[in-house]
Amino acid sequence: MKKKVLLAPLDPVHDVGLKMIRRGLRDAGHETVLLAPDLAAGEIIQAAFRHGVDIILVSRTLGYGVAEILAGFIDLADAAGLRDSVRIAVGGMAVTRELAAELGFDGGFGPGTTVEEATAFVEGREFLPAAERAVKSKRDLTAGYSYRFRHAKIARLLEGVVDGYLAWMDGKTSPGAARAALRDEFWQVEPWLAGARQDAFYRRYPEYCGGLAREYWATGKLHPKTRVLTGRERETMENQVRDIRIQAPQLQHARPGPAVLTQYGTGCPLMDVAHIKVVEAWGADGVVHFDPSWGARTEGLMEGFLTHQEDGTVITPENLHRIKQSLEPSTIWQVRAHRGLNTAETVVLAGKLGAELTKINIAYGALGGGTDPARLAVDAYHAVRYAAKYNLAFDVVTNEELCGVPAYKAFAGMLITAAIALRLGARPILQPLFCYSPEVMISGQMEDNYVNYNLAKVRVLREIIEAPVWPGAPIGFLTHTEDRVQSAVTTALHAMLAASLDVDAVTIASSDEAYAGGPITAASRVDTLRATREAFRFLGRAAIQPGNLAEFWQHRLLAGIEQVLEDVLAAGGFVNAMYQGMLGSREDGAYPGRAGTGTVRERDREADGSC
Amino acid sequence: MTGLDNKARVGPREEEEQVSEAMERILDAVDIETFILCGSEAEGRKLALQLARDLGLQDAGIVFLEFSGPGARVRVRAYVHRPGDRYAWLKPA
Repeated sequence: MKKKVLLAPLDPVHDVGLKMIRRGLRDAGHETVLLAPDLAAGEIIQAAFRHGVDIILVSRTLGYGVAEILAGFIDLADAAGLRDSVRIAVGGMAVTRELAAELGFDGGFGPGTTVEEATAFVEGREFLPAAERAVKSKRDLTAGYSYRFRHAKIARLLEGVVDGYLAWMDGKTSPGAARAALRDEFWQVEPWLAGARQDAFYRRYPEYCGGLAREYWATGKLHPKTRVLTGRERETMENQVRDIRIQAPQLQHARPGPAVLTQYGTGCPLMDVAHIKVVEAWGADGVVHFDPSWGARTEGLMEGFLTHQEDGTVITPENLHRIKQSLEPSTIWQVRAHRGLNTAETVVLAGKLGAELTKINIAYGALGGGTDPARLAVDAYHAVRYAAKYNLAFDVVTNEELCGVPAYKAFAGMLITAAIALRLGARPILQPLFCYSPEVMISGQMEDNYVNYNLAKVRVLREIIEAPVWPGAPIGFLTHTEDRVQSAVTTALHAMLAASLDVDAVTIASSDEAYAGGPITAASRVDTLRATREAFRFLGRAAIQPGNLAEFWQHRLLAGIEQVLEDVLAAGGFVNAMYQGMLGSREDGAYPGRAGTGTVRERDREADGSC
Repeated sequence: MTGLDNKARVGPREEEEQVSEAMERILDAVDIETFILCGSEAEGRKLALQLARDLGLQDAGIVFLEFSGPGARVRVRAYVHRPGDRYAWLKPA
């Protein structure tokens, strides 16, 4: 029902809030009368009688004497008999709900009040914040992409590289591939949860393990920096998580994206769950499981609800399952598999336990992640097949840039993995780093700004293929310092650039990412989520205009990628090229990894039934 | 992980218990950000760590310190619960 509302600034000068509310009320069909600032209480009450209003909204910005002034106003309104027919609310920077209630106002609005909230008061209905009304839904980062190659020459070169790789791959297997096949065929979640034995899996699994994992399966001995969490710890956490109600804000202001993901991996799944609930409450759209560095070099996985004293949470079925159970329905969950001896099995486990995303890159894992190129080339083949089978999209990270590999070489490696994925029916997501890499430190591409080169990276990928892009990881890598403000700002600015480029997702750091003296804290995660939200608000649907050099870098990157792919073919294919340095040389800072060297076997000798 | 109780402050002992409960509810760490008047970065570091000790905070370190002009802008951190600890906030209902 239409109302007549008197808007009265009980303040010497400030009336902006009331003007905003006037616009909202008019849009909602109500009639408004806005008084000038600095009127006495008696003048406002006279105006209310004169205009015959239904409601008075009084505002007060200045804090001095606020209680006395508002009390005087409400007393006078009482004495004048106004309150029999008129509802009165007060709002403004100097007002709290408690103060308004104490003084006898019908409504009170403090700082941060929205026009919608004031409109709800005028209309006499309950105000439902936007966060409560909006049900956040889970995003599919690959939806709508055709994966069509736009650059014919690069498409042709990649086709040749993939043909050669698949021919090389034919008949090869590894202990990692064998474990993944066992996990895929003989280990099922429901029987595992019910405590069924699943002998077909557990009887054979240890024979494909090595080192720590083999010892674990033989003797029960854990990694020295881990312990088993107690049932009581687990149950208490589950109970506490059940009591948490999250109304997650939408970080993106005016655009549909990018989705914002944060990494967890404190070492302890209980602390991880606590951090996850914090970042969900502050608007993160997804979380990324970060495992210990030794996990990638261990031949086989362990089991148990394990906590770890250092960075990275151990990948076990129990840890992943508990973490998954704690997630909000809208939260995207990524379990990284990309760089080690458990790549294929991790994909299977992640798929069975309900992840939406994983992470695979052969070139990075082999040249910057420490795994033997041939071994990872074999395991990643199976990993990609399983990713397709379990409907896991995966990003193809280019972290070898952080070792010093130039972006064009890293991109060539990323595109090869992506092309393999497409041939095997999977959904890759391109992950260029938004980073201040050793290459740019030395060569000066970012001497003036961080915009041109990062933007050129995204544009060149789009020039080559229509595929989702997810800069990472985290954005702004190596621009962060231990300074909380600087770190949050650089994250926010990189997020703004990513939004301006309409990418599909970003992974952001915490504001203490660069601090080496201890674990990341929850409050520091909130810092960058808040900063990112503010950056999205600042940008809206506007765009960042690059400088002239962006186009120059884009051409240079494209030419470099073409040349590398030609070199890969000339070197006799993808795997040879990794050993020979075409995708990152020792001079660049990339070294073929050694973990798993000599473990690739011909399948007919193993009969392992790999995927 | 649940809301803090609104207990009435009735005396020093109860106050002490409340402080203890507040510490138990800290998820992971306490950060103190402040500006310390000092003559050098080294003095700023010393005073920042002294501050943490004076406040009874164990396991403290300096996340960030920037000295210029009259003193140092500093962020001191004391971990209350590190990953893998037995967390005081993890209590059965």
